[in-house]
Amino acid sequence: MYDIRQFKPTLYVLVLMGFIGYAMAAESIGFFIFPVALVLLNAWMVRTGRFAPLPRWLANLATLLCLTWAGTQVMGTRQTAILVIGQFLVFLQLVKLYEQRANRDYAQLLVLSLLLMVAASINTASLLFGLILISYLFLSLYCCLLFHLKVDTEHARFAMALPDSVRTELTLRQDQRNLSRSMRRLTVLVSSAAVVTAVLVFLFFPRGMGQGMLGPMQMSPAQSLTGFNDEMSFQRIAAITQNTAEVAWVQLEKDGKPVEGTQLLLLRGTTFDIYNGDDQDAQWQWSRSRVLSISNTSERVGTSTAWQSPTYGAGPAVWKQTIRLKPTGTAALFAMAGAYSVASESDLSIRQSMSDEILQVIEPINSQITYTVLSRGTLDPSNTRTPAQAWTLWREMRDRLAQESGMEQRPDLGLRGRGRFRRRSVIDPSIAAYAMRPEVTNGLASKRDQSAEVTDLDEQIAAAIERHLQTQFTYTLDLTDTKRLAGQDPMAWFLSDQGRRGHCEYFAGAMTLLCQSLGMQARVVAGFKCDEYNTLAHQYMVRQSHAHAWVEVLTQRGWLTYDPTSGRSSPPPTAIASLWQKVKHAFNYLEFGWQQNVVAYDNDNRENLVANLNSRLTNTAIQGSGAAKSVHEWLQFGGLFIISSQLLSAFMGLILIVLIVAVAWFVVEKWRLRRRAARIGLDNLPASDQFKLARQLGFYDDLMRLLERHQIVRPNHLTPLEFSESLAYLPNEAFRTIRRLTGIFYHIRYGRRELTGPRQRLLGNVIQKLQQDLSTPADGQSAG
Amino acid sequence: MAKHRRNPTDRTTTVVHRKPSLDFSVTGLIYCSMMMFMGLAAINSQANLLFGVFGLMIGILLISGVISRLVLKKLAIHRVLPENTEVGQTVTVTYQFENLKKFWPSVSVTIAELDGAEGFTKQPMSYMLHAAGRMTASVPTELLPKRRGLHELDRHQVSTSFPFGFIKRAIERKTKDSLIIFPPLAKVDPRLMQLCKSAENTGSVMRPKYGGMDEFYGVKEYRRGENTRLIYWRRSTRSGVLVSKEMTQVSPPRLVLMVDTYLANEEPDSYANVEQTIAMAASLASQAIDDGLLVGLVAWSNGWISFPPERGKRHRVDVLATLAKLPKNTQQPITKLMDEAHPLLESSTTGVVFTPGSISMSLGDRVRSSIVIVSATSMQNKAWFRFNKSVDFTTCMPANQQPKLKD
Repeated sequence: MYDIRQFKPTLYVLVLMGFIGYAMAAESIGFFIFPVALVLLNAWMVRTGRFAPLPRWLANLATLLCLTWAGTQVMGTRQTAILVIGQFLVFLQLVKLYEQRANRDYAQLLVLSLLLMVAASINTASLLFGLILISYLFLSLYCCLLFHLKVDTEHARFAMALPDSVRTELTLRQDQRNLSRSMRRLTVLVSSAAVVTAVLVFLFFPRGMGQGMLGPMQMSPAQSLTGFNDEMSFQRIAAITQNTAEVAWVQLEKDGKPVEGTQLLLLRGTTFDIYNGDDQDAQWQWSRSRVLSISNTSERVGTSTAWQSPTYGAGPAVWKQTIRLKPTGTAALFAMAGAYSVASESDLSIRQSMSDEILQVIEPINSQITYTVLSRGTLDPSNTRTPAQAWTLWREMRDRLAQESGMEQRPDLGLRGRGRFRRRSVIDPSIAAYAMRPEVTNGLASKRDQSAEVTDLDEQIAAAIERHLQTQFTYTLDLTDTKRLAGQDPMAWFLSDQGRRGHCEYFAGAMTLLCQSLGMQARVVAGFKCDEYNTLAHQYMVRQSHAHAWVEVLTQRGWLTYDPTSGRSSPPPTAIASLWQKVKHAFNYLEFGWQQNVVAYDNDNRENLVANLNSRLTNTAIQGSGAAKSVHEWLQFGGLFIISSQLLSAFMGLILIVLIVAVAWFVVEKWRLRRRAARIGLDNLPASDQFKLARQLGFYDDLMRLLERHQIVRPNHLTPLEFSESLAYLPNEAFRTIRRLTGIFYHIRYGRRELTGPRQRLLGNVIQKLQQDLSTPADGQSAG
Repeated sequence: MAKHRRNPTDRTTTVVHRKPSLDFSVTGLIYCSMMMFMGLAAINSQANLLFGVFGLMIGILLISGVISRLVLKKLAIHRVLPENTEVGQTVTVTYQFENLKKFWPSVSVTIAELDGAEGFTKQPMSYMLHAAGRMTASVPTELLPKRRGLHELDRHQVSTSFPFGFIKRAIERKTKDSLIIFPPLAKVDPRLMQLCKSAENTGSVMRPKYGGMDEFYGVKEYRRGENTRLIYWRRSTRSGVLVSKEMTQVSPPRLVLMVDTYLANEEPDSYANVEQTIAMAASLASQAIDDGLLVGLVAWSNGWISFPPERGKRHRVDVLATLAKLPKNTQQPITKLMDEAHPLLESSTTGVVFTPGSISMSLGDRVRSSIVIVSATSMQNKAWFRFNKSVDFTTCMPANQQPKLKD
C-alpha cells in the first residue's frame, strides 16, 4: 500500500535529460559521457540492491571540494560563469545521487536538475535544446506529481502508523490500478495549462525593461567570431571554418525577384591591407590601416529610418539582402559588395568606411539583429581613391565639419585601429622576388611602373597572379604545417617550393602581398562565401565554415574582386536538393523558425502582436456592428413581416413535430426498455439501474427471444447460468455461443462491465449467426 | 499549517486538526520565491526561454489551485464501521472513496473526522492515494477507542495538497454514522465464574427439567410419532420392545448484574471507580453470555432499566450497549438499585452487584445468600478481572462525563 513505484525511474530519466541538455548547451562531450555513465551505474546499483548511500560527511566534503573547484574556475579562468555553475550543479547532482536516502535528497535532486536546465537554457538557444527542454519540463511535471504523492503517502503512513497487516497486496494493487494513466492525464492537464500560460507570458510580457539590473549573467558573449576585427591573426579565418555553427540567414533578391540559391553569395565582412610580418607585437598578423577605418558620420537606423550612402546609389542591378545575423561579438555588418542602403528592425548606429565600403556598427553585435541591405553587387567603380587620397579626403572633411560645428574635431569621424601606425605591409624579399618571376604575372611585372599607384596593367597583373595561384597551388585545410614554420614568414613559406599549399588565407594574403610588392593597391577581404541554400526557408544559410578570404585590387576600373583560392570553388548551387539535403533543410528551417520566432522575439515583435490583436478585435467589432445594423435594417423592411411570419409558423410547426416525435420516441424507448428489463428479470432494481442494464443487456434479451422462437424457454427456477448449461443438447457451436453470451451477461449484470457501441453491434452479429446455426439442422431435416 | 496544540500532559482530550479551506504551504512559498527569482532572471537576461519557464511556473501555480479543487469534487466517501467495538481494543475502520467523476482521478486525499474523535486516542483519519475515474478505493485505518458510549461520526473534513503541495484545500462534509464503543472488557477469572454458578447451586431449583436434548434422564417405551433417533436399540433388542431414551433440559445458571454507578463525590478517582465498575460488569456479562449463561441487568440510566436474564449474541450486544451508554449517576444509590433488582432475583438466580463503593460480605453472608458483590475498590477484583494495560479508567467515560484531571 502506498508505494509509488514510478517515481525513481522517472527521476533517473529526468536527471539524465538534465545532463544531456547541459552537455548540449556547453558543447562538451565529456559532460555527457561521464555523468551519464555514473547515473546509469547508480541506477544499476539501486535496482540490484548493491547501493549503499555515501556517508553524509563524505558527501559534504565532496560538495565543498566541488564548490572550491567552481570558485577557482570562475576566478581563475575565462570560462563563462554560467557554464561553471552548470558544471558545479552536475557534480552536486552526482553527489546527491550517491547520497540518496530520504525525500529531502530527492527534492534536492529535482531542484538541482531544474537549475541545471535553467543554466543550460541561458547558455544556448538551439532548437534541439529547446525540444529537450520542453520534454524535460513535461517530464519534470510528471516527476513532481509523483514526488508529491510519495511524500504525502509516507507522511500518511507515518501519521496513521498502519501496521503491515493492513498493507496487503490487495490494497497495493488497488492503489496501482490505473495510477499511471491517471497521472498521465493530470500531467497532460498541468502541462497544457502551463504551456498556455507560458506562451501568453512569452508573447505579452513586456521586454526590455529591467534588463541587466542584476548585472550580466554571462561574463562574456556566448559566441564571438574571430577574424572580423581590425586585426586578424594568421589562420583565424581558417580556424573558424572548422565550426559549422550558424552565423546568419540571408534572403536574397535581385531586382525584386528572389534568388533561389542559384547564386554564390559573397558577403564582405572586413578588409585588411597591412601585413605586419615579423613584428614583435603582432607577428604574422593582418591589420586594417587607419586609412581604411575612415568612415562617414555614423548614422542611427531603425525600423523607420534607413542609412543611405551619401556618395552613390543603385547600379545596374539591385541586390536586396535581408540578413538575420546572430550575435557575433564583432562590429562587422556583412553585406554584398557595393552596399548603399541599410535598414534595420532594431536601432543600430551604422557607418561605412569611405575607402573599402565596409559596413560596421558602433557597438559589437551581442544580440541577434535583422537588417536589410541594398547593394549593387560590385564595389563603386567611381571609388578609385588610393589610401593616400582617402587620407587627404578625410582630413579635409574633418576640418570642414569642425569648422561648421565650431568644434575642434569631430570625434565620430574617428580613426579606428590600435597599435602602432603602419603605412605599408612588411613584405618578405622572397615574396617581392617571387612577384617578379615571369610565370607569375606573364612578364607584366617588369613592365609596370612601381612608383605609380594605379596603372592600366594592374588589372591584367592581378588576373595573372590569381590564375597562377589557382593553378599552381593546392588548397588544404591542414593546419599542421604551421608548426614547421617556426620563425618563418608563412606567406614566404607558402610561395616557396616547400609550401605551395594552404587555405584561403594563404592564397589571399599571398596575392595581396604579391600585388603590393609591385606597388599595386591590394587588400585582403574577410567574409563569407556561401553556397548553402535552404529550399524550405528560401534563404541562404551562412555558417562559420563558410568563412572565406579573398582579394580586392585597385585598377583603373576601381576596386575589383579576385579569388585566388584554388579548389574551393564549389559548383554553383542548385535549387534541387536530395532527400538527405531536404531533411537537413527541414531541420535547419525549424532551427531558423525557432531562432526567429522564439529566441529573437523582442519588444518590437510583442508590440506588433499587440497592435495586430488590437486591430483585429477592432475590425471584428466594426464588422459585427455593421452586420447587426444590416440585420436590423432588414428586419425593419415592411414585406418582411409576412414572409417571416410564414417562415416562423413553418419553423414552429417543424419544431412541434420534432418535439412530438422526440417525446414519442422517448416514451416508446422507455416502454421497450422496461419490458426488456422485465423479461431479463431486472424489474426489482431501481428504475435508473433497470434502464441502464436493459440497454446493455439487449443482446441477452435478443438471445432469449431467439431461443423462444425455437421453443426453448428458460424456466423461472433456473438461473441464466443453469439454463445455459441445460442446453447441452444443442449443436456444439450454438451451445458454446450461448454459454459465452451468458458469461458476458453475468459480467455486465453483476460485474459492472459496460459494453461499447461497437461491441454491442458485434454481439448482435453473433446472435444472427446463432440464429443461422439453430436454423440449419431444421432445414437439413426438412430437406431430408 | 493550522494545528491545534495541546498540553502534552492533557490526556483527556483528543486533538482535532481542522484545516482551513484554502491554505498556502511552505513549499508553495518556496515555489513562489523561485518563481519570482525566475522572473527576475528572465527580466535581467531578457532570455526568451526564461520568460517561457517563468510563464510555465505561473501556469503550474494556477493549475495547482484548479486541480486541488478537481480532486475533491464529486468524491463520495462512505465509512464502513464495525457494529461495535470496545475500549482498548484496536478497531479497523474502512473508508470507501468513490470517485464519481468520469475522467479525472482523485489523488492524495486525506479524510479526518471532526465529530466523534473524542472517542478515540487520536483523531480518526485516513489517506487515499488514488481512485481513478468511476472507481472506488477502500482504505482501512486502525483506531484505538478510548471512551465508551455512542459516538456520532457526523462531520468530516476532506483535504488534499495535490498536485504539488503548494496549495492545501479542504472541505467539510456531513455523513452521519455512529459507532458504539463498549466499556473495556477484561479477561474474567474462572473462579469468579464458578462463584457465580455456585452461588446459584445453593438454591433448590437446580433440577433437570423435562424436554430438551441436553442430558440422558432415563428410558421409556417408544410411542408412535416420537423421534426415531431416540430409540434405544440395544435395550430394545434385549427387551423385545421398542424403547426410547428420555432426555432432559439442563437449565443454565441465571445471573442478574446489578450495576451501581452512584458517584459519591466529584473526585477523579470516584469517576474512575465508576468506570471500572461498569467495565467489570460488562466483562462479566460478556464472558457469562459467551459461556451460555442467562444474564440480566439492572442499572440506572436516567431511569431504571432492567433486562431479564437471557442469552444469545443479540442479548449480549444489548447488555453491553446499555452499559456503554450509562450516564453519570449522582441520584440513585445502591439501595435503590437493590430495590429495583429485587423482582428479577428469583430463587434460581444469582445476583452480582457491581459497585464503586467498598462493600464486603462475610463468609456467612456468602454462604447464606445467592448474591456476589464485586467492588471496584477491593483488591479482589484485580485478580478477577485482568484488563488490558492500555485501559485508563480515568479517561474512558463519555466525553461529557470527563472530570478535570490533575497533572
